Amino acid sequence: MSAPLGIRLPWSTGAAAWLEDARAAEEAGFAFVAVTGDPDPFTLLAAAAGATRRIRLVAAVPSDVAEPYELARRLASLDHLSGGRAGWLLSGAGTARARSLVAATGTLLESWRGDEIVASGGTFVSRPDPGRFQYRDPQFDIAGLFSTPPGPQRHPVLLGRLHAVAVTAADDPAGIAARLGGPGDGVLLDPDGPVAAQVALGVPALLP
Amino acid sequence: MGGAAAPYLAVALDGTGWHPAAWRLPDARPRELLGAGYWIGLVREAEAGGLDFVTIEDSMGLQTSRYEGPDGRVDQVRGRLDAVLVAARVAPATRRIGLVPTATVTHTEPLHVARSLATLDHLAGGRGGWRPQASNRADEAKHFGHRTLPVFTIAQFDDPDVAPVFAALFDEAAEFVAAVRHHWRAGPLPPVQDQPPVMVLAHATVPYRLAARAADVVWVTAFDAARVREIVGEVRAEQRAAGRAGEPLHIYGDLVVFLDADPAAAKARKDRLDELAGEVFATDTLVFAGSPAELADLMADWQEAGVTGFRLRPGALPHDLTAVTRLLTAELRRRGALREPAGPDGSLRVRLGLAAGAPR
Repeated sequence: MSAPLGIRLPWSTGAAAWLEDARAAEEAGFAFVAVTGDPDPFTLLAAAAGATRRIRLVAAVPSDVAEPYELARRLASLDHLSGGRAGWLLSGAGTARARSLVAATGTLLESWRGDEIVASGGTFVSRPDPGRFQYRDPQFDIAGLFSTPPGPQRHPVLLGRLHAVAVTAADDPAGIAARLGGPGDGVLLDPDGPVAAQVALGVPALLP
Repeated sequence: MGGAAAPYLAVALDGTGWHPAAWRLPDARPRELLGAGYWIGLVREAEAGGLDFVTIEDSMGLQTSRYEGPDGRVDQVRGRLDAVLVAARVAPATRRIGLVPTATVTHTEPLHVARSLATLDHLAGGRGGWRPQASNRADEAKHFGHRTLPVFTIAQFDDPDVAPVFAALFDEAAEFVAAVRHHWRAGPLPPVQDQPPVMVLAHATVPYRLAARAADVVWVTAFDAARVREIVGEVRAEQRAAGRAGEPLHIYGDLVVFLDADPAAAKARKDRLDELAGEVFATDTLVFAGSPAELADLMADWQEAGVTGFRLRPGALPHDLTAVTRLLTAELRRRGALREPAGPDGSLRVRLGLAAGAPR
């Protein structure tokens, strides 16, 4: 299977249990993990960065309210803190604001060349205005200096259209595996609770 | 000690320390500031020293030495990570210490900030806190395409022309904090400790009023104990005016420290850094350079003047952090002025004696 397989783990049993499930998802072989429910995804995923080693950490970003400057610094920060495993997906993609948000965030993530930090002799940065950016369209009119140098990926992966597969406690892994085919750039298992999540964790083992 | 209770003790983490040339010292790690390991190491050191909490600085812009905006300097640390995410990354790697990141209230939404900090509190098992920061910087407003406020400087805080703008900024901040508290109380993700402690840095009457209305802890800056006494009087008066006379509101002395067993060594280190920076380091508060015994004396004087705790800003990291966690704590213990280290699994609110309830 070429499309990456991810899982959206529900936040229902608390932080420690969620981090344990993220570790289990990595062990099971998922390519990425996201979260549903009430916590802030970036904050939770920053902690998950310490609990995992390989799995990509994907934050859902609401395209109707996210601000590019804050989004870009959270993406870059998560990328640094996870050793280059940050990812994001847009809820409400396809609107003019969503398109502008992606473009403006990209501009911010390009604003540092990446080699400015010298930290030798008396020079910390090699230019007086690292992170200088300007972005203007009907949605956003922003300019200045971006606070955060690029992480290992520079552009954390933006997941495109995902084929979401609902999972309930009544499912079994083989039945879920049979439903993975579908249009999209990746597959996202979407368990509806902690019991379903445990079922979904058994899916990768059944894949070729 | 005049019978004062042992002071609460915290350290403020920022970059390689608070002296602008601190990154140039041989034991500084300026190239590791963007990595998780750097922050975990520092916070674990603070935890091992029994401190109540660490704070992590942040702003919605690149660091600058000018209050008014970017300074174009290349000889100081530039570039930083989001403080809430750093705290979240550190949370599972620590057990006892409180984690208090800065998050701005000027260009963000209360619901969003409330969620982030509630999530941190869950990750830290009730050890989260929050330092709300208001910003009137024009450059930061432009990062969000927001209207810009008239620019004023720290020296104008009590200037009558500037006062109304300033008051409006802090009224907005107080409303923001109230909205965050409401989300914590009534929203879908209540924090573990219900209301994580809210702490503000305040330099003048208007922010003292914000603290008196909205905060659990206020950090105040001063250059001597006499001024501390005046400030404490002012904060307590604002507290009464806000109808919170019976509630806990900590007042912490907030100062920069260069600390060595030999006081001459501390002064020499600071002088060396001043020389590298090309100017004497002076900031919004006292810059102390001396021995643990001298600092403990100063702390006793400030406690006598009414503060209940201290947020110490290490001049250089890791040196002045480890001097606090090892030398200062030993000196305070000798004087019977060191609090018991926190046990695991306790909330920061309880640790700070704030269990009686948060401002509404």
